[in-house]
Amino acid sequence: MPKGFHRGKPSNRRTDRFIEDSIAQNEKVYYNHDNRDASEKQKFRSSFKSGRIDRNRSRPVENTRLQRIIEQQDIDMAGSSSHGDSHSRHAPYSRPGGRKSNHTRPQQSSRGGSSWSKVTIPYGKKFEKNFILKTLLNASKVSFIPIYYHIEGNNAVFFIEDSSAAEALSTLNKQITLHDGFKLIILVKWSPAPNLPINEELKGKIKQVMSRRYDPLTKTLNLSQFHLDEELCTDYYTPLSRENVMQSVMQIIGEHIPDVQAIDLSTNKIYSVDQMKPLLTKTAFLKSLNLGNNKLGQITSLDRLQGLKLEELILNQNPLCDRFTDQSSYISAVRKRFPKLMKLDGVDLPPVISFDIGTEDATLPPSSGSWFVSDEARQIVLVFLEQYLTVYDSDDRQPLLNAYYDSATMSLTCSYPPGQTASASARLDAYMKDSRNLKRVDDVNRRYRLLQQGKVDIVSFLSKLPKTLHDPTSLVVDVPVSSSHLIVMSVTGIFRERLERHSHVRWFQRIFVIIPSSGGGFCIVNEQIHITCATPEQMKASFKEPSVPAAIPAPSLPAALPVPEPQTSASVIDPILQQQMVASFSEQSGMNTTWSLKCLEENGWVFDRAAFVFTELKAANQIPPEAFIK
Amino acid sequence: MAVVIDKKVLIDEACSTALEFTKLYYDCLDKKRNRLCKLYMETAVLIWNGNSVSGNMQIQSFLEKLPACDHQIVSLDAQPIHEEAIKGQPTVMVVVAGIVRFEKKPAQPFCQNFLITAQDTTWKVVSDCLRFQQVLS
Repeated sequence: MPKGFHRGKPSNRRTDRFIEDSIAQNEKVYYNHDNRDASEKQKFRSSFKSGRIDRNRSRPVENTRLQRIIEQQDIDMAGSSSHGDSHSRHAPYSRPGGRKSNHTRPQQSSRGGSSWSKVTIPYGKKFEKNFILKTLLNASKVSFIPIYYHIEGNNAVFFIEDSSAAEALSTLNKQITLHDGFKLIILVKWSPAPNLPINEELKGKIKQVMSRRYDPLTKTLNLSQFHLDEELCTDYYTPLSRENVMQSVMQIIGEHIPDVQAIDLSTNKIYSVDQMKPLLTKTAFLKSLNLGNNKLGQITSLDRLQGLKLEELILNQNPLCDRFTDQSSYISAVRKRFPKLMKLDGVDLPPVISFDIGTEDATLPPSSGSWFVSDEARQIVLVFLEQYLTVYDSDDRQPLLNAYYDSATMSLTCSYPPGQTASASARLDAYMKDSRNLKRVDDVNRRYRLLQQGKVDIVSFLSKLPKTLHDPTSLVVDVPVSSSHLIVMSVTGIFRERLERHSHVRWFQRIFVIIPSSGGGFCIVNEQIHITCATPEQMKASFKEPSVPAAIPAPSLPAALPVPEPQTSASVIDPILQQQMVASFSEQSGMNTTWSLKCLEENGWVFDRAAFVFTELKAANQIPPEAFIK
Repeated sequence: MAVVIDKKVLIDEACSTALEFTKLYYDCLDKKRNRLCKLYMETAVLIWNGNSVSGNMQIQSFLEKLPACDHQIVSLDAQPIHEEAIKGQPTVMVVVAGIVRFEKKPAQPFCQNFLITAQDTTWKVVSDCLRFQQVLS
């Protein structure tokens, strides 16, 4: 192995002062100073600024920032663990300068690090947790981190991960005399690592700890030595090497901090990145990842994270580093997976030279609302559309006959959204057989037949389509062409089918070509309608306001479209027909022609609706007597 | 005596024109944007998701600035515009629905409609309206 690959043994990060400090401050502090030299410690500072976690959340922001800067002098970012001896050779780059101190720990178990012991205090239930732990920490020659302290029967039980501490604790058995003369029994046994399921309570706790460990200013999440977090470790055991813990952490990242830019996962005994795959889809801005001092064995295991746009990565002190005999093959293997990488294990990499064909900057222009070629066209089109859709949404589409030119043509197409094959709930069956999709309909005669020709055929065709209710707020109208002899309007929007059993939401595009009619209004000469299923977002956004009962379509214009002054000249209904309607309405209601005209006008010339309103008002005695004077 | 062209023939021609036009148009938009201006009339109007551009050169320049894209046409329909509206100038309404994939963006369903008119012996786009299937905020 090249000389440069050796780095000294990481030091013991705990010192004896730890116990005194923690007791003096009367708070549990399980982190301690790192003894290594500054150059080592600062190497990840640029991106992982919050190396140490604030203990005092109520501290004002400024102080917190200042505190961090001070504390950075003490950050243990590369995170030498108490089991670091076996990792020491996994550093691909050596650093000048050694450690100031090197407390060599007693050798760990031959299993390469983890050696769990279960400590049982019989009858410990009757004591306060803090009392027991403080007593033991005071008496023990070796400091320790109690993990997953809980009560089993009458006994207090906790775990420690450190065999020398376990040894030290076992020597204390019956050596500590309590105030009542009772000698504390301490049973220490080798044990597998504790295993506890993640329930909602624990997940909430993890979320809380993550929130404290997240710095929103630098968008940095520090999860180094996660299971040793002071808030978690005493009562729980939450190692990130466990699938369920990592899954919960990833879920919380995705839900709460998707804009995270740097994550420190160092010193967590992580042996697989499989559970980190959500980072690919849930985070869009992740640039820095610290996986240092873990148990990743193969460079190929990082393939799972391929696609992350990492600029900075720390991998040192992982077994995988050992597999490379020289730096260049190590760098190229990592860069193959993360081509945008600029810094690996704290060392700047030569810049990536790539091709630039200048398409990076192209962005889609933002969409905006309705567009009309002229104000005049806007007025005509909006009045036309309101009247048309009011009738179209009613129970009787026959009056639409007045909106079409005698020899008008009309056709319909429909298609499913991409990737959606007719899901049972949203099938377009009602339209499919009439769909004149030229991509599918090859036959000339069939193409001819599917084009509805003449207003009678068109209205009878429209009458057979499912009854509808359009969402006025969804309508978007574009009018690209308006001249003295034609107006082209393109309308998109959302409607709901008024069916007995289902109420499907559809998105449509409808194009009308209208021309001035001899009677003074406008009428349709060409129409095409395309219908597809609404997207989930459209369904969510549509029909926000309480909808009007279907049988009484309300006169409503889309809120986004200003209502023009009602102008008789823009009316689509033939004046002769209007006179007939007034006469008929007058006859049936008993009101005079002036009031009948008023009622019809106010209800958009929809006879049934005017009749309904009249009946309602009459029942409520709100029609003045003069309305009936003929 | 003027030749009376059968309505059925007109309708059939509109269909084949639309098929040919869309093939050409989306090929240009996806691969040869520098030729797009030739497809539009000098006074053509484009309304692209509410953004309006007029003039064939301006339209080409607008479309050239869009990210690279790939269109997939799912549905197509066409009808000849009524004689009454166009006074003898053959015009076809073309209606398209499909999916467009812009670079680094998820597939986007869209609807688009064109009016294309015959200028001498060439079809030119008079108007072009496109809307994505999206919720406008």
